[in-house]
Amino acid sequence: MKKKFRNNKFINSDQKSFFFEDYVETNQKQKKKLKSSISEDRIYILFFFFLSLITIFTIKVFFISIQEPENISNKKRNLNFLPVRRDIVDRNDILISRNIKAYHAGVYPNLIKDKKKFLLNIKYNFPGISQTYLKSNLEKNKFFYLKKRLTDVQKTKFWQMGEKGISFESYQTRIYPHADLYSHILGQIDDNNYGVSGVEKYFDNELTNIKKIKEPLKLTLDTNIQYLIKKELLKSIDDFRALGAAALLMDSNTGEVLSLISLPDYNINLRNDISSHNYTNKITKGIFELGSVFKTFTIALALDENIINPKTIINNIPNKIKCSKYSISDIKVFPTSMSAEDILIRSSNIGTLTIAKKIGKEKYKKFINKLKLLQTPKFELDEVGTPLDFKWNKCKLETISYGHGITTTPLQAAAAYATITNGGYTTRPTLRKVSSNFNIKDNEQIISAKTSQEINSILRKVVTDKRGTASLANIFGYEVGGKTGTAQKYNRPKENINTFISIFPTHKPKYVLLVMLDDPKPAKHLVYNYRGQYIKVNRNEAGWNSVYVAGKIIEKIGPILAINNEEVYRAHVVKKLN
Amino acid sequence: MSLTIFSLLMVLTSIIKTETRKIEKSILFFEKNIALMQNNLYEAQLDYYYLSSPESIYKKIQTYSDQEYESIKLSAVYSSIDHFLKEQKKISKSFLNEKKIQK
Repeated sequence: MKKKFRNNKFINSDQKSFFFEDYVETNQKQKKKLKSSISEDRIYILFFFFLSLITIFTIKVFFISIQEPENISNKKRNLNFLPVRRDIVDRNDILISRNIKAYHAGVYPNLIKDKKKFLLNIKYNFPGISQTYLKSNLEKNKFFYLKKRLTDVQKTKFWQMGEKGISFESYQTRIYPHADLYSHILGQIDDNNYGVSGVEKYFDNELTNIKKIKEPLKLTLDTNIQYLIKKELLKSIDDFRALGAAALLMDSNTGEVLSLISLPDYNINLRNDISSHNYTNKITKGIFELGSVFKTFTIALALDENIINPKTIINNIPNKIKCSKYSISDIKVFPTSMSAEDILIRSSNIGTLTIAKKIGKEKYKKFINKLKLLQTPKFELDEVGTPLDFKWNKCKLETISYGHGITTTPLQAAAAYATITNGGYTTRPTLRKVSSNFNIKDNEQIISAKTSQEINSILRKVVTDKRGTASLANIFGYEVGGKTGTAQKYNRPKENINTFISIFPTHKPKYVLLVMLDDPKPAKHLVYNYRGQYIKVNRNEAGWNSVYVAGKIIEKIGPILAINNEEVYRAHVVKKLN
Repeated sequence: MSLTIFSLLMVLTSIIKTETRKIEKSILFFEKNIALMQNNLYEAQLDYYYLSSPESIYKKIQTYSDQEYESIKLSAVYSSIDHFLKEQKKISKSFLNEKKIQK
């Protein structure tokens, strides 16, 4: 029986249980499936669709959870005021220019309920706003600006009106805390925050560099010195009834400009139309015949070429000479024989001219070019002047030897003085801080150190010698040296440009100070301390005005400049020790 | 077992998420405060530089101070009393000269 069972091909011998299939039910299910309108494929598609949705949402949720919520970062962005232009600071990190948030006031006419009341309110609070302009714009029913560039007081007034239709639109503008102190240097920006003049224009790309937006742009200027010099210049305009005045203080070695002032100036926080020539930056854009300050260049070249030494006597100097149709003479009568240094100390035109003739035109031409007196100066301002075209005609050498018939900017003249007195190395004026690796010996040397030393001692004598023209600048402790220049204005012979270019301390010049007065008059009321004597004079040469002003300036700024004062040391400490 | 871990992680995640949100909120609050302070400082700096500008200080001294400030010349610094007396003699001489000129 068992054998029979095992041999049965329909029976699985390993099967341990069995079941009965209900064929009726199975058939019913199959029939249902066949009758059903939803196929299995559709279910799978639906399943796949929902699975995809879940996956997408899961991924999205995951990313949202790891990302910083957008609203938070937006809030952060709105909280911090981010200026679009960098700050400008002076050499001592004193802020001189900064962007701030300001407002325009606009009007949405459809939000104004009582237009008559609104017009009355505006008329009462802002009589300057035209009523016809307001009426016509209110009728148009479109947004319009009521007043642009509001001050804090104006904004408060608008706000206090409580008018729903007035809206404030924020924008960024530049504020200059020192107002007119740097007006000729900083310049201004336009409504779109782009520089239109001065440093703001020259450094526009750097100032708008978003990567450095929190880092201020540092200039070489010194606010305290700038203020002290300006104050003295304003006083000088008053004392000498001058049309204007200008001054430049620069480091003789690095060329860093510590102060640059041109008067009259203007408040750069206000947008005024300034068309008068008097507002030109006299230091960088003004082109002037600077007169006798050029004599220093003639003597320096002659010394460097070994044509003369400071003690060389020049004989047979005439009082007057004729060159072509022009007659050249000195203001005063000088001896017919003078040493080379005497010629510069007394400022003799004919003496200098005689030396220039010994130098010759070609050498002089090369020297003037090396001093860069006739080229457009390279400086970090767009407002720079180009000296007038210069042709080496007949008598040119004679006239330019004492500074007539040649024009240049005061900036270039000061740079040339720095070059001649710092050991002979060319100096380029700059408004940017020079790197700590700066070495003056990397610059081109155009005269020897010996010549430079000789010139410095002659310039010192111009101030200390009895016959010198700059005694009023002999300020104790600063070893001031320099040269005066009194020149008539072109086509206006009654108007003078009086200049004094000083260097100090002369044993190792550190600073060049140029002071220029535009058409000064004699100051009869002033009592000068002239070599220990208190006197009143009725004279108009640079020695009696520009030199006087330079002396006053050096007296004030000297302590700030903290010069290693050997003169004081010699006068007090050494004396005491002995 | 796996269900327990899953549930635990679920709960932990929600707790961490909530705590993180709280921390984020307080960070935002502090950042808001910092930003406000920074903005105030930014404006205060501008005020400071305006009020401490040489011109402003000079005007204030003129208006509020009774004391008159004068710069001391280096020539007014003397090494000894003898030196001072010697210089005074020179000054008195120059005053005599001035009187002569005025006459």
